[in-house]
Amino acid sequence: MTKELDLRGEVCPYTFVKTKLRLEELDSGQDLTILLDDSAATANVSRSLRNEGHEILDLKAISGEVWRIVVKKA
Amino acid sequence: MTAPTTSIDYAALKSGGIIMQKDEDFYALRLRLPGGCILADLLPKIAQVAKRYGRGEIRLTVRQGIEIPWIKFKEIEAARKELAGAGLALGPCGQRFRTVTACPGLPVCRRALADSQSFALQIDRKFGGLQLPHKFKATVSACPNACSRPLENEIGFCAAVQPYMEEDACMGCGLCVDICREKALFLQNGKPQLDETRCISCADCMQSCPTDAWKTNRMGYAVYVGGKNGRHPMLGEKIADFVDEEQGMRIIERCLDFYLQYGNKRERLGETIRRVGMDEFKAAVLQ
Repeated sequence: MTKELDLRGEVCPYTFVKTKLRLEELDSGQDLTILLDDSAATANVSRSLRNEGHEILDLKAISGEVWRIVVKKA
Repeated sequence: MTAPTTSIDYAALKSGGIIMQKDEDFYALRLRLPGGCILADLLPKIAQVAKRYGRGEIRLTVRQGIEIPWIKFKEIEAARKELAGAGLALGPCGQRFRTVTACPGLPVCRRALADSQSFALQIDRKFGGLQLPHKFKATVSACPNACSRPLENEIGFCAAVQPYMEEDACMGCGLCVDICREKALFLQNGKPQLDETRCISCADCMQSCPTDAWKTNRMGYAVYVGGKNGRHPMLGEKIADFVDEEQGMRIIERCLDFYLQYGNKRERLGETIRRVGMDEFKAAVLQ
């Protein structure tokens, strides 16, 4: 089952801080779906995730301003 | 500790960094801190000198420097020697090539495209303190956000990256199109296309791409000249794009040759260029 983290309304750097904390609860290889409502935050979070070695499985705008990242924990 | 001395080192005085206050008995000492960077270990020494010779006051300048005011005329030399002993040189003032400023750059700043600090240091080592027709300011910014104000200096470097798209690596998420603040990107058949006339080479697209589909086409510094602030501000004009540090150093050198040859006393570079002509300036500098 995919875990989901709704970060709509959150701003940087809390977006990544909260992502990081949530990922800590997951096992390696598990997926996490992250929702954001700002493209700059989406870029920042996905970049930070990649810098930490996680794999971005999907990234897309799902409606208007809302972006969804699916990441696989390293 | 050496006793306060009246034997002023006039050569040191002339090299600048000793600024007379409103009350002629007191002077402020300006430190030379290229890029506004100072090691924590040296801060206690500055504090010590400020307390011993000044009034315990330390001032931050608008050009990332530090000044220690309230040094008595007779104690300038002792204070200067104490600072020099710790490796703290005085910074140029007056009609000279001023201490070079810079943004934090790589590896500190998340937006940075270049190591602006090390380039600033290199420029400062070679040209800092040179006697010129008037004050001459230089700065290095590590991206087009231009935090260190390259357009408001005699010469300003601003790092830039011109990207190109490797379509096979692109998954068509469109994030870069949304990110681009210049509206230089648009989607065509599901893939982003670059409008080079709008692109300012900030590399936000590259930094946002989850699959690294944006690659570096050209990178280097944009060079702006003739900017200044003060009572008659002027914005610098771009004369070159994507130059590396070596080319940048040569441009500064030729720029100073031009300024020494054509610059009137107390005329800023931008004013000299305006009087002599940008075409002549470019011909001399961009050989």
